[in-house]
Amino acid sequence: MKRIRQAAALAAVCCLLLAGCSRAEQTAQRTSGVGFYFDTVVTFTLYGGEEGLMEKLHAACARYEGLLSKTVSGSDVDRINRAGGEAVQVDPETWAILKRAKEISALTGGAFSVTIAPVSALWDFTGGTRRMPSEDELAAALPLVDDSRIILGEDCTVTLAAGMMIDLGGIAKGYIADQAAALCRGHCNGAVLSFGGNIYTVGKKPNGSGFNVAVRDPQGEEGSAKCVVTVFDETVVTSGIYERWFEKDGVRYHHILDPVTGYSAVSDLAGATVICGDSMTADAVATACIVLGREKALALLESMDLEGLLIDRDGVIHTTPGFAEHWNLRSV
Amino acid sequence: MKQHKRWLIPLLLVVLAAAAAGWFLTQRPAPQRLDEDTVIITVNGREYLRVPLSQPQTVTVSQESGAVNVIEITPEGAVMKSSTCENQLCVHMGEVTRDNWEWRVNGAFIICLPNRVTVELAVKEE
Repeated sequence: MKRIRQAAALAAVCCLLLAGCSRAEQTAQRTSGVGFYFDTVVTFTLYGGEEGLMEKLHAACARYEGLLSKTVSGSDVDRINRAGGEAVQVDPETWAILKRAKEISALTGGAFSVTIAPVSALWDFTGGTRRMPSEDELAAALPLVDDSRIILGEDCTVTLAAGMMIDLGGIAKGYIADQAAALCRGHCNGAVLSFGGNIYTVGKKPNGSGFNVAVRDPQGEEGSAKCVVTVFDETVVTSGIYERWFEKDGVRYHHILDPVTGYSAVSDLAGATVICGDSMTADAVATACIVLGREKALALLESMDLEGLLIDRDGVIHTTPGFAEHWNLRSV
Repeated sequence: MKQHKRWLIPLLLVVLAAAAAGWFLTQRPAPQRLDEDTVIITVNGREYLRVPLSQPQTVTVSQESGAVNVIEITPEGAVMKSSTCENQLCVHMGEVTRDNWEWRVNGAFIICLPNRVTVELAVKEE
């Protein structure tokens, strides 16, 4: 009997050892995926991801692009923009994003506005025509920019006044990053989900450390980093005046438009980064910070209990008061 | 005593076989399990080519649209040498290497958005 017990114990040890090897390999197993959605490239890096997780992430992106892109015919946003003052029934998620957009617009005093679409349609930052609006065109479009006039009805209906349009480009990627992170939680050991300027990290690296996320140097070469921050289970969202721009008559125009003037924001900030657990909020607030400028941006972040770092046009970094308690900034 | 020994060996074999079967069953497909640091090139989101850094070479990606990207793979990393894209941002992203991939804004990736070509340095992490 004693020998049988010894044999059973030995077998159990073997089982544990083999199972241990299996788990270690799964932790280190790395997969990556690339997709093109929302006019940008999306990259996913998974550590120990369950089978099928990558496919779920791509399927989610494709679904949200079909709902939220203003350039996809038949999307919720496309139908809202073409409704001519009529109420439009939308997906509950589209409705919820618009509800949050209205809240953030109010919190930022309109510095973030999804109803900027009639103004942004007058500019061409990507097509190569360098088109910019005339004063008359802006005078006609600016009264249509007001998120408080988005009417969200019961049963997921959305109504805009005739002529008004929405563009969720400043908030949708954040929402999708949140949903992608939720898909990953509990189904992988770690993940880095990148949606252009929105990075969401889930879990840890295989060696147990956090993920390093580089913050773009607004004044530097394409892709050059100003500093690096190490994060666990957090989103790092950066907006900057370097993303899409053109020069005309010696003036540089960038894509972050001031909803008050209709022109590129001319604040003292060149880049704004927000770090938190809510990528949708971070996305919208980072954009608003550029419009508001350093002083108001820091006040906004504090009022919303958010941490972030701002890079001014002289390249100086300004952090929120609580930033240093959470993260160490490393120069590159 | 001898009777016990006769039982012991089959018992051990059965338990070990069960453990081994369990181990194999828990092994999931590992499409990117890396034996060494590797450059992964994708076109339109699909994997186009995978080149270990131990095999440095120049890769030309030519698409039916006329888009052409030339990628140089070195023993340390990869760089977009040229691209037919208009904005040339991918060419200006510089080299991604074993030493800098964690400190770059685009991480381990070089991205040519207009031509939908990506170059990833997949570093073997412990």
